[in-house]
Amino acid sequence: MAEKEALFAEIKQALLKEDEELCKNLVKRALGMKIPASDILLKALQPALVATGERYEKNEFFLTDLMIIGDITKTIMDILQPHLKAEKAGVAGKVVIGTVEGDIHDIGKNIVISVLTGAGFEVYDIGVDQPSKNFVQKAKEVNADIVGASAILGGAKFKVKEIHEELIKAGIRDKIGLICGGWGFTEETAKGFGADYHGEDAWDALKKVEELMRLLKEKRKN
Amino acid sequence: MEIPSSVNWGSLEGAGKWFNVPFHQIDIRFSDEEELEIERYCQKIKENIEKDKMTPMERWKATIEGQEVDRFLVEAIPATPYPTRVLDGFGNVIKPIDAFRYPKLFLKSQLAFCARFGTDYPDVYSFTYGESEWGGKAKLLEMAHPVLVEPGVKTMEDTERLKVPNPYRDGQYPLMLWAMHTMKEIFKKHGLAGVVPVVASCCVRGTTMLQLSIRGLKQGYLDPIKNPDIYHKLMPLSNELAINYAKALRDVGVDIVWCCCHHATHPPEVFKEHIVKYDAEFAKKSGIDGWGYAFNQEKHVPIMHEAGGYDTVKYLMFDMLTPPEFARKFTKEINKPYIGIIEDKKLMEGPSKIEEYVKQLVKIGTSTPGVGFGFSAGTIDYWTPPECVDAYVKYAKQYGKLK
Repeated sequence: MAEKEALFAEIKQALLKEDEELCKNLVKRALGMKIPASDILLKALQPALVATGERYEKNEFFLTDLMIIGDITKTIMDILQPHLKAEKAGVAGKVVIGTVEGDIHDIGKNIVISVLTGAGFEVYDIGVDQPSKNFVQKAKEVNADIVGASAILGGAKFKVKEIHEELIKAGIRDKIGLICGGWGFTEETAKGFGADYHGEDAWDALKKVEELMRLLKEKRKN
Repeated sequence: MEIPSSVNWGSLEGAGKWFNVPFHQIDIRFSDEEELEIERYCQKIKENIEKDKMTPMERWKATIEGQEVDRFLVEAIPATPYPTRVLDGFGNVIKPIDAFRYPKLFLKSQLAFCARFGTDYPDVYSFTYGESEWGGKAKLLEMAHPVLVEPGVKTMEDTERLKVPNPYRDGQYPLMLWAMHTMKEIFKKHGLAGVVPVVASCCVRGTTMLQLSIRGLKQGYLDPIKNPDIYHKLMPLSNELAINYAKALRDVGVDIVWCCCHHATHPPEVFKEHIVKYDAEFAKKSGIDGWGYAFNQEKHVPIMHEAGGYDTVKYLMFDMLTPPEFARKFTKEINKPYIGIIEDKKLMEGPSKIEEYVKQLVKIGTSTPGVGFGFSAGTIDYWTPPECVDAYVKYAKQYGKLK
């Protein structure tokens, strides 16, 4: 037990130190010890990502730290994914995410993907400069719970409204959450464009996605 | 035979007919109606300033020298997209892409913004980062600034073929120079030269150019950490263009040249080891008047100061993500004026919140007599309601009036 906990702490530290090789080796060692992938995810990766957010908030981590940690998280998730499937670990929810048409920025989106994946969400990244219809098409295809739209360029932000309208046209808006993110969004503008929430940063996006999942579950019960 | 260089292999999808036309060959004329339109903007700018005790130029100079002013400076950085909304009365019919393709629209929209909102002077944000001039594939976007789609430099080998673009000749740069030169000529014609300064940003500095125009955002950010060899190979080149562009803006008639910056994308130790020497060199050689900072720079500006990055600049601008108390204390220590920027998100929070931010900045601005202070806002998000910009200008003028 103590050995497992120590290993989780080591993985967390390796991620925070941005040491990809060490992180990979420790995760492989943990899997070799028959530790469930879901435990590695929840007890090592997720706390490391939460700590990353806290350090960023305190001005101890910077944008490049988030980018590097995001990349390492993706690598680790690639290792964990087959094990999670074999364990039939529950999925926290399905999220379709992309950058809206007219915008190609994806650094923030990729960090959000890492944080959501690290928290157990199944995330489908449709890429950048994506027409609104593509968000809806993918959401229908994978039976998504939530659509996430990223937009940093001021003028491109109104595409969130278009996605909202496309979801209505497709008859699935009331069954699906819509969240947006990107520098410049406020809760007011996001809601003005028809989104349920906006994520101030990746960790705020996770909170909002979890809240949306809770609301969706309640709605589905009724 | 000349070796094909980066400036030949780049492309800008959707570019207008003046793209890649050298500055001295640009022949853009105004019709009689346009001359009238411009005269009207200038008349309004004059009306806006005539009740003040000081002209904007006098206020700027006094601010820089830490002397008494009638009220704090009130400027704004609307960038390119927002002013296009002023041209059609916020009908959102004219699109930002139009200004990037047609330099007359760009120029008129900047004058119209200053006239409409009553800022002290037009502060024109550079409408090019040299997206295609380093061999990349770039495109104009309908609603925003152009973007690099595929970088021209992917390997160390690619760097060998690079040639430093010439701002008087390549890409969109000559158009920006034309617009600024023409603005100065317009000001001369209408009695505003020397009264209202012509202000422009030469954004971006060399490191940012790497991200936006040479290597792409992700690689450009990570190069100092992951590929320092490529980073250090490219930096003298990108800095050379940044320096030449700043100088060219000055040479065509811009009175105040500043550069936007965000040191704090990287950890302080990376900034110190790899980046700061280029930023300091850029500041010294380009002769820029000021740095405009976005995001929290608390840990980075002392490093920049130590490297001599503020030796030659006259003022520093910080948005409120750098705590204003810190910004004021730091600028007082180095004896430079502090321009407090109310950033885009805060500007969208509505008039009552804007009033609070203005009051907060006034309190801090007046806390160090003898060291200048001023207001700015921006860059202004395309969807910012005009009443928010009105509120900013109104409150900044009202509360910034010193007794």
